[in-house]
Amino acid sequence: MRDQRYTDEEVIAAFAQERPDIVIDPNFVVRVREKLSTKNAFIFKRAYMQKKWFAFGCVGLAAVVLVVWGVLTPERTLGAELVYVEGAVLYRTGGGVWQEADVDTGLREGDGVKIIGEGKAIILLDDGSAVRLNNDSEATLAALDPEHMQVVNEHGQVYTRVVKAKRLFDVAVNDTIYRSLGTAYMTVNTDETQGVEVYESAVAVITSENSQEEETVVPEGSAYYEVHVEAPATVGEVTVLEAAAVKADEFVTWNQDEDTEIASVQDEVEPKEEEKIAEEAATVVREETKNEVVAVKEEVKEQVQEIKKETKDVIVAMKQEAKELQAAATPGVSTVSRITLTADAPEPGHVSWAVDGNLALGMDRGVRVLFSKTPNPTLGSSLALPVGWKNYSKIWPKEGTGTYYVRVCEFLGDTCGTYSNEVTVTVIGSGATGEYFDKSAGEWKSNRSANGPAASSVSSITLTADSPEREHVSWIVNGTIVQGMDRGVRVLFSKTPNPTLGSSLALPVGYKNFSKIWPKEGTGTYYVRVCEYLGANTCGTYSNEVTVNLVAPG
Amino acid sequence: MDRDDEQLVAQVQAGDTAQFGVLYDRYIEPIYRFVYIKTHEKETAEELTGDIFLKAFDRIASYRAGNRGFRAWLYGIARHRVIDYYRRKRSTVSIEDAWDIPAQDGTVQETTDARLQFERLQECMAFLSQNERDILMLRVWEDMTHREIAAVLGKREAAVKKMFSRAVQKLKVIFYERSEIHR
Repeated sequence: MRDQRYTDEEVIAAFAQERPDIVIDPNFVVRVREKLSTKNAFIFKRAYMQKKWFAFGCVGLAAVVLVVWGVLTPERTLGAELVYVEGAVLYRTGGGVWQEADVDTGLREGDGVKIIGEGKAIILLDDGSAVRLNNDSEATLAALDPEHMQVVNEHGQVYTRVVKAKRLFDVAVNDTIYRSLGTAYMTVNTDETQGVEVYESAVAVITSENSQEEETVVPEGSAYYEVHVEAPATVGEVTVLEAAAVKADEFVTWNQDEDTEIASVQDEVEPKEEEKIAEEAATVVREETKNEVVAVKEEVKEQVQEIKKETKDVIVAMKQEAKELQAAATPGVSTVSRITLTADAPEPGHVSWAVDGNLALGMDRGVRVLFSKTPNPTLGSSLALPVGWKNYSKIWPKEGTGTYYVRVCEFLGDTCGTYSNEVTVTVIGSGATGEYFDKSAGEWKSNRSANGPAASSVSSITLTADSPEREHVSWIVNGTIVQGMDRGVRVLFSKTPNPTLGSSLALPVGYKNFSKIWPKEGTGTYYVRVCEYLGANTCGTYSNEVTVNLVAPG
Repeated sequence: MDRDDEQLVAQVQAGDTAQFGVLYDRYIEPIYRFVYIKTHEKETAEELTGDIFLKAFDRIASYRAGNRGFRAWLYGIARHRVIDYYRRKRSTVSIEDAWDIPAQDGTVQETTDARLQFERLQECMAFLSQNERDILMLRVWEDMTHREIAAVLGKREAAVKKMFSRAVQKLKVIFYERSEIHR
């Protein structure tokens, strides 16, 4: 059992310090801005438009008119969005240009989606219904009126999962309308086949040749075709879907899998929704007048639609999370037969290794580098350094300078599996004895005086609050900080004055001369000092004390 | 900040596309930083960041705020773009950002300091899943809320909180062992 000596806040604070310093190239910023400006003449060219205020005024006035119009005429149609995209999926707004679609692409009435070649897409309508496209298919959201939804199957296979509600839901194939009387059906529109296959409940077929009173009803497990080149005798007739053919249809079985997951969650969700609605309605009836009851029921209906929409997102997220948890909880199998270790590779003081076979995957797995000044280092007797995907590691002078025996093993939880050959590596320099690695010279140098801890040449440290920004401190050191491992600067902060190493959080800082103050003791005023750290739990020179006020995030 | 973003987006959608410039100025650096940390390369980061803003501009007409806000929407585009880049680059292996790439394929940083920073970071990132890495970066380095991060990753807020907590526990082990090395 490991000694987890860090608190969560300390770990988060330390990770915050790990953020690499990334500087953006200002020329790059300008280049992208210019690219965007070529897409629209008005963008970013404010400086050049200063003489054309009239043009700007017209644009602004038009924008105001559009915004006001949008406010006064609230949208009466529902929306939709793509929640699954596989392959080459495109969309277009109204009758516009086709563009690449992605998950979360929002769609409105009149928009179209198509798949080129192999692929699939799922459009989730705001009422909770789903429209799913197969390879080489295209559909248009002709109408998203809450009272009457219409989808046009322009081409291919379009599967529709319709949420039960008091409104009409149609899918049109050329001049024929397939009206949902229930839930799940697929329309087909190809040169060889045009019609509908019903997988749940029923669909009414409305053509220009029949009236609604004479409409043909296609029940569950049946099909109806207007065109069927391979089986012309079935045209115009309600025929039974062959179970074998349904099972063999990959797109149909994929849709049925999707529907099964939705149903399993809805079974849990719907009773609770109905319970929630009934409870709210009962409360309203007791306390409100008849007009207020109608208004509240409309609001609840909208909330239910929103909940149903979110259900689909929950299912997708749960699937993914379950997959990840299972991968994490189920360690993989190792097929490692050999590990070959090389000393001083890729550079002196390192080792690198090559693995024959595949490492077991999963949490608490990987490769451990075992090194010690005594031969045959093992997990128990020496320091195990967990390594992830890297195939090399630096050998740190844990026991001081000198020669280390090094092995690598595949880590299988509490034990090692396959071990590598053993090599020796000479490590130069040791922080434990007061040496530091001079990067420019490329070697370890000593900074220790003859007796006791390293001598400091820092005469003062000047600390400034809220610098470079709020809730930070920055400092200037007069003198040279003692270099080496377990050295540097410590930022001491506490809600009580004169914070010291022992009584407050010491945050080791490397090369930076500023630090963020974390709300270890909650929001409020913190007293902050900085000191040069000399190792052995000892501070050298302290800075002046400042106060920093931490507020709750807005 | 979120309300400002939504006002600007509404103005762009209403036709005042000059306001996209304000959004661009506001987010170009944090998005570039996010992409750079995931790709480790200046040229790749610049290429992808440019794509991200062009895509955002193209799709802003269909943007709807919902519960996530513009920032989460933009980071979602950024994250998908990086994933897409690596999936096309290495179609036979599950690689979603540069932290998944084995060391022998690793890129070279431009300065020694940068290389050391990334080397240190590799020790943390190698043990985290891609989602855990993104959640830590967005939460700790970009100050996003769990709710925003959930929108970026397409997950539930509760799942994000759980993964964040798990990632912190993993980091504890790594930092503890690192401190042992340095003793």
